[in-house]
Amino acid sequence: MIAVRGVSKSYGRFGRRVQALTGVDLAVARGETLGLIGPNGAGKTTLLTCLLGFLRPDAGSIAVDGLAPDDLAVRARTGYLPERLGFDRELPGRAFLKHHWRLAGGDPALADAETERAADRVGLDREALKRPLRGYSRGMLQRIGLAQALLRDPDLLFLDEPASGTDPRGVALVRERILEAKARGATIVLNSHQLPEVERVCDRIVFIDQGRLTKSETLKGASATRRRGVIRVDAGRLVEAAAALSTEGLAADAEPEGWLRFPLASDDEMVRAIRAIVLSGVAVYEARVSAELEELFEKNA
Amino acid sequence: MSEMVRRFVRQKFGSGGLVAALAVLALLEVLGLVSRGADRGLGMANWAILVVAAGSVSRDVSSGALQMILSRPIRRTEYLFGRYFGILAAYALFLVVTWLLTLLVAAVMPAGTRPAAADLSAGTLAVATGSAFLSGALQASILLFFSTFLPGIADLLGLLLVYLVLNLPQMASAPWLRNAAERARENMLPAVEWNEVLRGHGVLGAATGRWVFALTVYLAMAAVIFSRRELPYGQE
Amino acid sequence: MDRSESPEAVSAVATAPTPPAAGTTRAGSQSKISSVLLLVLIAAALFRIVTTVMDRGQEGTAVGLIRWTEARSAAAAARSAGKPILYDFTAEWCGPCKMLDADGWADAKVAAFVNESFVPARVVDRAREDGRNPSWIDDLQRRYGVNAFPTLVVAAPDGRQIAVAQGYSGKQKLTEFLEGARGSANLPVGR
Repeated sequence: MIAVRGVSKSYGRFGRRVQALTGVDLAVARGETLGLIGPNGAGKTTLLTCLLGFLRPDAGSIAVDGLAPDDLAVRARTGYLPERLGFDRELPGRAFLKHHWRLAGGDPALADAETERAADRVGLDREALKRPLRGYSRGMLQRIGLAQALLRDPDLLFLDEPASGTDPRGVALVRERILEAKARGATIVLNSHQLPEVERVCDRIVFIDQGRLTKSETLKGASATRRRGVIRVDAGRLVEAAAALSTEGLAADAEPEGWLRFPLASDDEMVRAIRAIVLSGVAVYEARVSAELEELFEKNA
Repeated sequence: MSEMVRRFVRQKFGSGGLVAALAVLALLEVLGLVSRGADRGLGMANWAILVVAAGSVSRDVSSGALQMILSRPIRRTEYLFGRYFGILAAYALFLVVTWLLTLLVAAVMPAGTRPAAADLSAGTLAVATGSAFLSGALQASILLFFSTFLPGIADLLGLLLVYLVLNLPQMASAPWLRNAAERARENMLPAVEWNEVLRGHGVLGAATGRWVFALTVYLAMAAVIFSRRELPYGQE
Repeated sequence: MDRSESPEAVSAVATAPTPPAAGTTRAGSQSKISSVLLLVLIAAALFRIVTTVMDRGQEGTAVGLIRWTEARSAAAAARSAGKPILYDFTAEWCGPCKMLDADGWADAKVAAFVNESFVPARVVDRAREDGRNPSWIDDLQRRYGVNAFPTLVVAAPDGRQIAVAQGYSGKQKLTEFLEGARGSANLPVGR
């Protein structure tokens, strides 16, 4: 659905040019949820801005369903949640949502009903809708921003740090809404630092560092390319547990509080790992299969 | 586009500071009109258009609102002209309020206090208001043009620069410079006797033609620049 | 341990990408806007040309060497030029007017001075030929108390009368009048 080929983009004036993106190739399939992760300043936001058609790449091309990213037909199916929400502070929440509903081409007669429905889905009550955005907390602004992005059920969603600054309930709401959009077949591009959330909702992630796309990992399904087993055992018997794992052919990294991390080829290996440790007499307190995305950040120098 | 116009008017009149500034200008205008009459036009109206039109596009760019709006299926020119007509609508509102206040004050003032020479007939007042609106429309188009690529309220500086560049050469000694400046001024800041035109004289005169052309060119340039402009994210 | 870490594999993780549009050219909707803009510009340019030509046409045949301005736009022209207006109230049937035209306006030095220092505008009375004048001519004549021809009126851009001369008494008197009026006009340079 989204095809990015050889995209490069630089900023700034003569003498102070910053190469934000270099030779980025990316394809997002229809219905896929893609996570963009990487260190700050790596170019994730630049890439997102190019995908939205607000920036023109210096080289390469971007196409959404074969059309230019700023084509009106593409826009009609797009929902966008920017990272910063500092606009139209004098508008009450309801007016803000109705305004965007109409801009999105929604039937004005349905504006009120749809606005309320959108607000309900992000946990904003009627009282909040009456207040001007000026009086919203950061978390509330994120919610109404998300509500705005989800108006008219777009099948293309661009979310830039959707859960930043929200409380756990807010994070859960974001996750629920994303999964809901996914369930109806939307294609989602998500830029986030909240790695556990990324892992829960994304099918695939790409890692961007210094303007280059350096890794792509499939997170879900049989073709998942990145699996880690993480087990917490009795800290005093770490060595025994590690030995038990190595008999199964699993080389684990051990950490003082009793954690063992090891790569997995399949979920079945996890079953064998747990059984090996238990049978060796060591107590297992916690076990999970995870992509451990944090490790991606460490390895890149 | 009506959505954009509505948003602009709400943005402007939702700001307490701006409403206060316009109120002050309106009051000054009313005082001026009541004491001097309307035949020499409105004096404060120029300031009102500056207050209303400054930073019309740049404000949305810096707040990030523009990206959110343009992620919707709206053409860039729809947004831009929505801003422009929003400026005109807000300005018209100011003028109408001033007009009504003037009529009110004139009606209410005791017979002896008003200077007899002040012509406040409905016709003169209407013509004066219309003139102010039309000359304001041209200034707004220049401000809009500058706002498509200058940040904050630097568009006001742009307008000032235009006025300076076109008027300073008049003090030069070289006639060719004066003539060139005169010619440039005629084209870039065409002066139209709106008082006459609105009374039906010279509607199809050369001055009107120049004004229409200048207005169109400023708006066209704004449209071209704004359509091509990139919107990098934020000021981080 | 990890699969597909190399950059080459990145582009391989694609599922039948749709062929892209040619580069990132503007969407079709944008090019339609440009043609609308172009049409509007052309229309405005045509309007301008037409109105300018019409204005010139109203001045009739050139009289002498003076660069006449259309009387109704004289005030605006005077404001932007920073010069006073010189109205020449005249009529076709008036003898002295013809002398003024032939002697005064046809003289190179007089014409140069008038062109340089004033915005000259001719107001031709048509009462005898047509029965009545257009109202703007009546207004102008009334404003400056014109009841004989030729009458020369020097006015400030805001309409204020600066000097008036009735009849034609020769080139010398004409020159004196014009120079005196220019001095009295004493307008500051600029608006």
